[in-house]
Amino acid sequence: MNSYWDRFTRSRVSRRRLLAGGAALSLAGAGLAVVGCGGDGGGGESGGAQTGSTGGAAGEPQTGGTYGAHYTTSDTLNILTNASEYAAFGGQYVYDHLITTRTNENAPYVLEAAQSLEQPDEITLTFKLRQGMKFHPFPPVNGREVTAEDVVKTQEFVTPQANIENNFQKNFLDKATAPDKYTVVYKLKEPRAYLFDSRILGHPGPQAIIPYETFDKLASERQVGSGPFMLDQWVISTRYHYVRNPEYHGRGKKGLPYRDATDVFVLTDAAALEAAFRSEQIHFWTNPTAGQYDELAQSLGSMAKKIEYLSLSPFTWNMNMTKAPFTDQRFRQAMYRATNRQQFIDLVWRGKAVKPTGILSVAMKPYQLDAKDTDAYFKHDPAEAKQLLSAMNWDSNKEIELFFISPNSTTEQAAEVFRQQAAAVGIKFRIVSFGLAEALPRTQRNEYEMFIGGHPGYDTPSVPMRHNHSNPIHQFAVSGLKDPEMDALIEKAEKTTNFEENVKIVKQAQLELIKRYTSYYNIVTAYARQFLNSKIENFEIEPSNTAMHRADMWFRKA
Amino acid sequence: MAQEIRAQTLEAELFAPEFRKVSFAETLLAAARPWLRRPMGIFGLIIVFLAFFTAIAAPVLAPFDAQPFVGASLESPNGTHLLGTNNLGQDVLSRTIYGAQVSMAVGFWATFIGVAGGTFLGIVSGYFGGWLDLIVQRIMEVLASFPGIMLALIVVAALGRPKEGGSDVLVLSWQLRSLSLAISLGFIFGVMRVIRSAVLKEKSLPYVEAAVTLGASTPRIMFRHILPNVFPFVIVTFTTIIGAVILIEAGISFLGYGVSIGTPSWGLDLSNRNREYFLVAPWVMAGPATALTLTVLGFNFLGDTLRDILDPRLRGSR
Repeated sequence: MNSYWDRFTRSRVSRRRLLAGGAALSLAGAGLAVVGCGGDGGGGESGGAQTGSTGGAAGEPQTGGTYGAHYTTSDTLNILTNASEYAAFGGQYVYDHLITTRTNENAPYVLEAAQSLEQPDEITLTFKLRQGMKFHPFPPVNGREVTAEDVVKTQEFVTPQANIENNFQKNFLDKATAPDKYTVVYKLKEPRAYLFDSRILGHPGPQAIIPYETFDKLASERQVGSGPFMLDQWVISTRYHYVRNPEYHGRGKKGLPYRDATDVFVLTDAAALEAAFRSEQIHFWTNPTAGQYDELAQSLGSMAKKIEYLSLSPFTWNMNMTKAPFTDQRFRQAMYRATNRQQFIDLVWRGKAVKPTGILSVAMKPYQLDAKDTDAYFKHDPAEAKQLLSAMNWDSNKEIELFFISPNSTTEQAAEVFRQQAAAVGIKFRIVSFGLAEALPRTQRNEYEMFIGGHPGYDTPSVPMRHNHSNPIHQFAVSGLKDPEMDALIEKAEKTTNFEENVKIVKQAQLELIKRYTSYYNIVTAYARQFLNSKIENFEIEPSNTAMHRADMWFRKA
Repeated sequence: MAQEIRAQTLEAELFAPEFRKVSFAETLLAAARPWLRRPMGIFGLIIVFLAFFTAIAAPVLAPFDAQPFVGASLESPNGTHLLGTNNLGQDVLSRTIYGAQVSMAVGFWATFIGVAGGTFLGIVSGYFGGWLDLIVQRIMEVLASFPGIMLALIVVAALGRPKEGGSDVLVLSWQLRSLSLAISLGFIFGVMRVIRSAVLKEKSLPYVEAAVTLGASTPRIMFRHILPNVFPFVIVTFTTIIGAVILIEAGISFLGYGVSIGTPSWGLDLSNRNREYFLVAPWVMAGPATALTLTVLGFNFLGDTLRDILDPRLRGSR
């Protein structure tokens, strides 16, 4: 089969092999493997183990314990409308999915509720469900069996919804059917390249298996799913306590999840996070800021494992292409000339970041452009920026609103660095910040001028390239270049399922976008920095989603 | 009749007190005497003067602009950067000096609005009494039931965050008006209670009765007769709460709801991006923290001293 994922489907790496491969890696090694991210493209065992593991060398899995995680916010339980909820709360623990995504072009997914997945042709996906799966024993579902009808009804429910990430249902899916109780068939409108992307079939929100009895109560009532954990107690935007689901299918393995419970805390303050980690209230501390990471690692000592790898998240500035002066290419070019990426790396990331050569994260190695092709466009040249602005009679008293999603001290610093760089060429920024819950609706309502900040980890070019399209589709609706030629090229890549051909088109599209000084400027690829409690074994690092439920991780007892 | 008038004049001359012309130096000394007995008050006065002076003269006093990156990242204190630089290479001393503008502008205006509003309501409520007093008191109690910083955050959220950008303290004062107003609301109740209780006492005194008998209008009685007599309370209240106002401004900026990002402000410079460097580069907090502490201390000393001097019950005490 000549598809985007053909090497995977030809010689699929089983999850056991995948984890075994990961087990051989130290955490740092896992990080490096992620940096490599399909670099050789050759598949095989070593290439397949991009998702790392803390290793199973400590012996047989032990049961018990409560795993603590953290996130920044969550203002409703609705996993369809609330990005936080699907990214780090119920979408990861309560709801099950047919598959979950892995960052590996050769092994792009792991089967979850689906026992098997077949692709008889490029527009048909046939999932066979595991038999005997049950929803959590809470009303109104009361522990009934999960069937193919639940998957189909979820897809039908999701399709017409507004302001949710239902790109797959709206644009890709022609029809979802359930020929029998345990078979789901997705018929696509046309072949698609990035099907197993974490924002498409691997999307933890709209691809969750939601019991239809709860469709009208998603925001207000207890979440009921069939995932490894059941929502037990919660205080919105404060703390969520999930307990082990004894009926969980365990991907065919009995006894999963090994741990008794999971707590997710809403924590934003750096001091609170440190206290929570040191007191073992949380066990996985994602993204301590660059300024404190090395010192913290030293002071945490053997209590924590230090994890660093090149992130899949682009860190960008974006312009709103429906507004002046961003529609003027001279202005965009001036902003490219004003941007000093090395200064961002030195001041904000303390050297822990690299300069991308194109639109995509440096961790997406197959898609990297040759630096010599793009260096001229990313050149820092304030004098040229001033000339360009002068040519367009730029009024240096005009103020542009630059917004970032708070709280995030790294982005705050980056915004300030960017303001100074722009000020040096005569562009004034006023920095404002909004929380995630306010920021996303603002972009959808077109209420912004420029944005600066990090994006989620993208495991395929799907979303970052779409940010440069006139119709960005995704919830974070930053507007693209509004260039029909570029739109056509991006769409062509999305439909090109042959991997090598796809890479070629994506590279071409990136180069053309940069030549046009696209409104989406990829400033840096930073190193993801995390701390993991040393007692945790078999912990999977998935760079596109650091909040996965990890049902098979366990605590090593003293 | 004429003899009688002459006798009265003579009597008046005989028993009239003897007035002596007092020199300016003597007047000055008399005014200074209570201060000289209270050195902490003088210390407070100097600090307050310096804080206002620094705010007004910041563009002249600061060795660098507050926002550009003028040095290397996290330079320790040295000859060029006396208080070192922060992680972005901004001069900490310059940011501390410019930071006085926000603290003084918001501190002064928020206190002014709070004290003016509280004084007005206190006089009106205390003088009229009855149902008006009842209504004003209950409304103010509702307002007072919100913690000051919470109330300020709610009002800032409703009015929108300030859009400041000037380096002139007067321009900045105007740009920060929403923040000043938000903070001031939390203080109106306290000021009103103090002034109201003073007015309740004043309105029963003979001079008010005399003014009423002479046909003075109600506003005249309230603001020409009673207000000057409760003014010492107003002054003391002003100097007492301005320190708290500065702290609240710093707290709001620390929480990210005050001045916009990048603006030099003591509260903002003690938060977020600087906080992660406190252990490795403690000088980034030394400037704003010392300035904030000293200024609040100065206002508190000044307030205490003014209270001692102006409150008749404490007059003469040390």
